Amino acid sequence: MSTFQAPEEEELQIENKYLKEKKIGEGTYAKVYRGIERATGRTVAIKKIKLVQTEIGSQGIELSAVREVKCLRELRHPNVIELIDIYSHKSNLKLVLEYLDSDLEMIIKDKSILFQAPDIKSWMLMTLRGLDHCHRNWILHRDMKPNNLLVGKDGQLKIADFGLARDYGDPHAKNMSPQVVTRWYRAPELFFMPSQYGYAVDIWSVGCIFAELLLRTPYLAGESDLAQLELIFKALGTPTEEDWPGFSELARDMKFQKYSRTPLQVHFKAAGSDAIDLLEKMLTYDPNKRINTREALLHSYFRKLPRPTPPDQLPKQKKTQENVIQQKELNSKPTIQNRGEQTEHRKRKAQEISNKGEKKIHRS
Amino acid sequence: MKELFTETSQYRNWFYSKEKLQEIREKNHASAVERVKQRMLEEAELQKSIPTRGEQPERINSPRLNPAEIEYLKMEDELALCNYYQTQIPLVVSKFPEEIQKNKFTDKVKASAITYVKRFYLRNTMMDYHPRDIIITCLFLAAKTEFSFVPIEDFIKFLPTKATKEVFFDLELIVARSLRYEFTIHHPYLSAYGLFLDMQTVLKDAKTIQVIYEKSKEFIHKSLFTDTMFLYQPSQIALATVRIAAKELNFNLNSYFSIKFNSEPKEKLDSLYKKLDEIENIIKEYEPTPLNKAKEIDARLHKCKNPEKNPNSAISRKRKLEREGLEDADNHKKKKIEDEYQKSLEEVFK
Repeated sequence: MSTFQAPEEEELQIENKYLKEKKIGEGTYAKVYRGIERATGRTVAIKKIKLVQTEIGSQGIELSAVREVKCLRELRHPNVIELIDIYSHKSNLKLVLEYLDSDLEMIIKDKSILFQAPDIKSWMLMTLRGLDHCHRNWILHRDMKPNNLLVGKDGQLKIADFGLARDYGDPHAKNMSPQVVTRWYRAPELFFMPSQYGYAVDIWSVGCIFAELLLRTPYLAGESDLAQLELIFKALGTPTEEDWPGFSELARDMKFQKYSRTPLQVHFKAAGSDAIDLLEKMLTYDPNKRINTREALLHSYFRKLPRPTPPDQLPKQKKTQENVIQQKELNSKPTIQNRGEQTEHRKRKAQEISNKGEKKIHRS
Repeated sequence: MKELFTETSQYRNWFYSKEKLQEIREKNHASAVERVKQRMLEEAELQKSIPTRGEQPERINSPRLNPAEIEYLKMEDELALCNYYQTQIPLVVSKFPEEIQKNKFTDKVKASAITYVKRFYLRNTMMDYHPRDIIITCLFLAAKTEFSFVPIEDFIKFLPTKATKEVFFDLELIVARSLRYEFTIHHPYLSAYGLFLDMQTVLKDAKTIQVIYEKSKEFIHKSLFTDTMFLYQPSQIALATVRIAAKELNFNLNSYFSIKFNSEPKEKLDSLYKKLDEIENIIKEYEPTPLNKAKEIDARLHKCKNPEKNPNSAISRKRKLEREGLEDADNHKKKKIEDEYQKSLEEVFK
C-alpha cells in the first residue's frame, strides 16, 4: 500500500490481482466465488456483497458487511480468517478471503471420522486462541458455532463470519441487540433481553461447541427460544439466586420448572475430569463468573496429557464437496442447499434457517 | 497499551511523523492539481468542438476563460476549508431531532466522522469531491460503523441538502475506499476515561478529578480538528488534555505523574513530556477557519472543480459514450459467443 497512490488507482490494482472463477455459494447478502490470486496461484474466496433492499429501502453498504469488514481489518491471527483484500466494483463490495475446505460442523457430522481426546483438545485450543485474539482486540463475535469454524487443508481452524460481530469495551456501550448468536449456542443471559452483555456470551457458545465435540451431536438443540431456556435448565439445573445473582429479578415475570443439577460427568462419560471442569466453567450461569479466554487457555485441561494433536495430523474429511465450501462465509444463507443427503442434516439446516429468520436487520 | 496500539490499523496505516505527513500532503496535492489541470484542458478542447446550438453540455467555465489561467486551490486552502467543514459536523448533528442526537450521534460517532473527513482529504482533493456532501457521507458511515445506524432518509429529511440518497450511496463507497475500509478509530475519549478511573484510585480529591475529566473532554473535542490523530497515540493525547484541564483549574497533577511514571527511565519520561508539550501547543494554537475565509476559498473552488466529476460537462459525456461503447463491444462479444454456441448445437443434429 503506497501512501501516495490515489484511492481509485490503488483499488484497480487490487481488483486486477484476482481472477474470479466460479460461484460456490449464495445467500441473501452475498455471493461467494472461488478465485485465484494471479501472481501466486493461491486459491481465495471472493465474497461479493449485494446491495440489498431491506424493508426500509437500500441503505448503502450492507450493515453486516460494515461490521465484518470493520472487525476483520483489525484482526490478524492464525486462528481467525484472513481478510486479504477489499475492493468495490460497480457499487458492489468484494471481500477477498482465505479459502478453506471444510468446517467443524462437517467434521462432526461425518461419522466416518473418528475423534480422539487429543483431537478435541486441539480444536478447542485453536478456537480459544482465535477467540482470545478477538476479545483482546475488543471484538465480540456473537455467532460462534461449529459451522463458523472453518478448517483448512493444513488442519488449522479459523474463526469466520463476523457479520454479527461488534466492538466492545466501551463502558458507555448501550442498546446492544440481544438477538444474536444462533439459538443452540446462545448464552442464557441473552434470552432475558439485556441491552448490555459481554465477552462471556462467546464463551458460552464455545462451551456448547466443546460439548458437541464430545457428544458428536448438538448439545442443547432447542426448537424455540423458550424451549431452549428450558433445555438449558434441564441439562444444567434451574439456576438459583446463588448460582446467578440477579436471576430471580431477571426471571420475575416467568415461571420455570425447578430442575436439579445432574453432574456433567453423567452425560459426558468418556470425558476426563479436566475436560469436565473446563466445560463446567464455560457453561457457568453467571456471566461474571464464567471463565474468560485467558483463564481457559491456562486451564489444566490444556497443560495435562494427552497433548493436543498437531493441526496437520488432525482427522479430516476424505472428500470435501465443492458446493459446501465456504458457504458459511455467507451471512445469511437460507437459499443454500446441496448440503448432503442426510435428512438429519436437512432438519438441522431448517432449524438454522428459522433461527436466522429471527434476526432483525438493524441490529446494533 | 502501546503494544496493543501497534496492532491497530490506525497505527499501521494512519500514523506518521510530522515530516512524513507534510510530504504526503504535498505530493498528493501536487498530483491532484496536475490531474485536474489535464482534465480542464481536455474539457476546453471538447467544448470548442461542440456546436453552440442544439443539445449543449452545461459549460463549467466561461467559454472565454483560458484553462491555463485557472487558479487552483493551494494545499493551505484545502486544509483551511477542510477544517471549516469538519467543524460543521457538530452543527449538522444539531439539525436532527433531540432524540436522535442523544441516542445516535454520540461523541464517538461525531469523532469518527470528523476523523473520516480528515483521512479522506489526506488522499483526495476538494477539486474532485466537495466537502459539503462528504461530511454528511462521513457522518452517515460513522453512524453505521459505530453501531448507531441512522437511515439515510433521516439525513435527507433533516438536513438542508439537495443531494439524493443515491448521491450519498455513491460517495459512501468512495469514502470507504479512501479509508481503505479501515473503519476502526481509537479516540482519546476511552483513554481519558481510563485515566479518570485511575486518578480516582490514586488521588483523594474525587470532586476535582470529575471536573478535570469533564474539562479534558472539551480539549479532546478540540484536538479532533487538529493533526494530533495522525501524530500521537490516543493515550498520549488523552494524557495531554487531562494535563491542560488540570492546569486550567489550578490543580497540580505532579503527584499523580510522579506516582505513575517515576519508575520509568529518564529518557522515556523526557520523550513523553516532550510529546505532551507538543500536543498541548497544537491544541492551544488551534484556530477554527473563520466563515468569511471559508467562503472566499469556496468561491475559488467553484472555478477549479474537476469537470470530470460534473455529469453535465463535455468530458463526462465523452466518458459516458466511451463506457457505453465498451459495454456494447462487450455485449457484442457475448452475443457472438452465444451465436457460435447455438450454431454448434445445431451442428450436433446435422
